[in-house]
Amino acid sequence: MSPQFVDFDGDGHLDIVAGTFSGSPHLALGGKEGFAQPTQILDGGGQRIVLNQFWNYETKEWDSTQRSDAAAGLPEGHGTSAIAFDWDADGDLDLLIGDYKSGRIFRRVNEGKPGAPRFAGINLPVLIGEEPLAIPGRIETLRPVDWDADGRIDLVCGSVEAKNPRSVPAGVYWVRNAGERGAPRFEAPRALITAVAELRPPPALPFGGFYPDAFDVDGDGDLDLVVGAKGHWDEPARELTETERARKAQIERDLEELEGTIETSLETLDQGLQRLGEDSEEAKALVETHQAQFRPLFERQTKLREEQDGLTFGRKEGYFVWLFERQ
Amino acid sequence: MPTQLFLSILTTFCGSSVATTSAQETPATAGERTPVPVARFAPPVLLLAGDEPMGKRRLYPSPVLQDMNGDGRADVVLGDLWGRITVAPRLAGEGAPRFGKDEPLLTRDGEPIDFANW
Repeated sequence: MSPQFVDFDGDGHLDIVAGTFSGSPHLALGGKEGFAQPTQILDGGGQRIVLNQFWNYETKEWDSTQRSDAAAGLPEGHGTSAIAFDWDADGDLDLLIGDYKSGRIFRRVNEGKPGAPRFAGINLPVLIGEEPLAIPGRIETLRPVDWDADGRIDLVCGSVEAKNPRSVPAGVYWVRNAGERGAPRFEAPRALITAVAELRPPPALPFGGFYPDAFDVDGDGDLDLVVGAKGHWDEPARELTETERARKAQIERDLEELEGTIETSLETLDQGLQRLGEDSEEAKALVETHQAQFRPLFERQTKLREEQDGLTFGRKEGYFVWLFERQ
Repeated sequence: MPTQLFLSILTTFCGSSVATTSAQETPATAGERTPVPVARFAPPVLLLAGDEPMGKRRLYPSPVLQDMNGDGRADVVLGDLWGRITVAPRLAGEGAPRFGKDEPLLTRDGEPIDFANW
């Protein structure tokens, strides 16, 4: 979920556009008093904007549709990232949607006017020549930015590794726009940052799931990258004291017992929901009761795992944000 | 850890691979005679929000730079897997960028903004 600040409705206040894992882009309108909660961005026909796969809120299951495909027989996509970008320089914002199942990007034309968007019902693939543009891996983030300061808006994209084959690495890629205003012509992706596969001593280095933004952080006139990603490192081993060894063993016992309690509680909740029906008022009350019971259990689990983490060595991973200053 | 020592350790272990990846020029695209150079970067630096690594305890942190408090400095706005958004304000001062503790971005009704991503 990568937020983008943009004046979507042309009222002079910044709004927030973001793709979500449900498969549809969302919008939190901003105003003088602040932001509203997000709502889905719909197309001109009042339908959800999706590639193919989407979370069906009514059936509470994953679903799929081909209603927005530009042609028959296309690979299924799952649009989890989105940005608003005036592709055709007509003064209103079109949508670009990134595919989490592949490296493809799609465009939804805004057929309305500034402040009154009306998005087309068809996803047009972004092409390089006659072929679909494909970022290595699967897309997580799209950023419209003039990376090479040539006056044309390029794309900087973050990806996660491909599922098949997993050898396609994650990274941050620059897709240069060599076209004209209102008629982008994109070139093959160029890697700006790729995953650091090898394990090294701390601090962590990024190896997966790249979420970049391009910004002149150091004020030197060029764009740097701020990147959220999964990082890993090799924590050097040290000899534990006798007290630490005893504590580590106790934590493992406590976690096993705690996680057993959590699992039993979840099973009880699940059985209750099936008996009551998930949408009933009784079910909602049951969920609230269990949430109140779960919260201290999960908090204790987090604390124990953090303490355990300090007593273990070797490969570790976590999520971080890095600054890559451009030279 | 002092900043210079921190950066020198990063350079020793990270500088070569990051710089090499970024410094390679790509082949010329059709119609262009001059290769387009790809950027070079200094070794990556972990950002902090207050005293904690930024993104810690978040899943899939997604940063965007935006001046949220109108002080002329871009803050780090961070989305995550759950769809919650926080703001780590850029602190004043010269030198390496520093950010304050991140706080939830609220709606106009005072509730944490929630994209319900997952």
